Amino acid sequence: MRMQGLALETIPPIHIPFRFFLSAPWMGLLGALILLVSDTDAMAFQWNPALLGVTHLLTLGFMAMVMLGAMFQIVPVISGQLVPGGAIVAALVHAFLLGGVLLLSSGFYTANYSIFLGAIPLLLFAFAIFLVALGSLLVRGVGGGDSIFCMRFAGLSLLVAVGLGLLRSANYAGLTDLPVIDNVANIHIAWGLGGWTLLLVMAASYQVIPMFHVTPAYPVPLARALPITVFLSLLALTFVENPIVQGLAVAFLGVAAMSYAVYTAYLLSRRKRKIPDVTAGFWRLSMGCLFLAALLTMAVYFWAALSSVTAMHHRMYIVLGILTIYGFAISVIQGMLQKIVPFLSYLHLQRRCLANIELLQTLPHMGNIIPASNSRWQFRLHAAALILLLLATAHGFFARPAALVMAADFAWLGYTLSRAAWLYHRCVLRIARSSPQ
Amino acid sequence: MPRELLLDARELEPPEPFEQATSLLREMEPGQYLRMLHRRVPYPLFDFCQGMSLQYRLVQEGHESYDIIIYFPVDEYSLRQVNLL
Repeated sequence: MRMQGLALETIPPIHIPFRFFLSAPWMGLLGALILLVSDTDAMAFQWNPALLGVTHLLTLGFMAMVMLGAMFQIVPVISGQLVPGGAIVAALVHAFLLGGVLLLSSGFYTANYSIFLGAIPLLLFAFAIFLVALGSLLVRGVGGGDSIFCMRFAGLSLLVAVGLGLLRSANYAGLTDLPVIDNVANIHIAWGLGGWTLLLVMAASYQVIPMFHVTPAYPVPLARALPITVFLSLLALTFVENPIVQGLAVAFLGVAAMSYAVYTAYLLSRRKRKIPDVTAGFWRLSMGCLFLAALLTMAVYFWAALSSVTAMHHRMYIVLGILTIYGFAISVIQGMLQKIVPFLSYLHLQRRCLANIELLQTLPHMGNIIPASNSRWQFRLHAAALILLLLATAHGFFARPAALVMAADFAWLGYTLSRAAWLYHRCVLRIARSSPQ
Repeated sequence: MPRELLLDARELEPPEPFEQATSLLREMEPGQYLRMLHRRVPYPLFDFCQGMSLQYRLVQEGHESYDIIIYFPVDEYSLRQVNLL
């Protein structure tokens, strides 16, 4: 039998995940501010440059920033192996990603695509370093069960999504002609959201749902079948041109995403202690959006196959983007941050107290590191921003209120996480002062 | 025979098992031992036990089910006598 527990001897220093977690909300805030100053019809067409700038601030600046930081944290702990290069690798990835995202988004926003010449090498370095460091662990026979199994597919999907994204950016910057694969942008989106994001959320949920919410575990056959189905569907969509195979791939991808959403909601309904928990609320919101997004993807795909593209279609793509990015991915990331940041803070503080065990009594309770009231406000702001963003796809009147509430959503997250980090730092200083020399 | 302190942590969310266990262990005296039922292996708690010079024994009873005994070294013989170790 496998011992259920985390290998804490390989826990990375807290500054590694925190540097990613603390940067991410400000990228989201910048995205909201760009939306605020853009034309109110920016959300009428999915290829609007300002909207692409905002989208990449959310997907790379917020989502990938947190997801890479979380992987630097979670992979060593569940696999029991240290990431090669340690803190230096994480610092380099963080710096290159930050610089690359800012340049890429400013290139989109100003429609000055020569800026991509600066963004491309930075993003290439960020993801290449990340994938080599983490990939060297994931290709080995490390422990970690279903989570690591799923993360391998997530890592491969990231490789494809980043490769296609960089190719497309090079094309914008005038460096290359369009590659041989048709529809590069849509395939890039499919691998980025349907592959990397969905698979990494799945991998994380296999660990955190049973651990933090005291639920039964995901059944192994389901936990293994879901990533395989998602990955094979994406491969078929990318490389097989037969419309019947493509239709089947969309259907399999959609059904896998919906099954995952329904099963996760079912597990959350089986929490052993039915105490109020904002993170569980974020998970339910996220899974609801994933279910709707998968349903809508199938509807839009089969509808598009039977009819010509209309303005209504363009809006549908944006609704899909909002449901997937803001509703599914950002909801679950915000929810997990409410749990993971206090948990990591407490864990590291507790380990610092081992030299003077009496100090354990003076540590803040996990519930004080991020107070429940802060988390509740986070949920309200996030849900309000999501609703307003969806309304803004129907009428430009809602665009500015949506951007304002979205800005408040990310600013509040930035404040909450910074406050937690400040509290942690204050406790570290107090422990250092009280410990025997 | 040493007196048992029981902590059923199987339905507690982290870090409550650690907080409640350390609270009990700080008050525990020789002649007492802590029996903890847990879903996972509480590695941080074992670090704490080392810091307190306490001994522990872990038995996996099934999937996601662990029976942990934490005791003072002085009580080891008595616990062996009653087949708890």
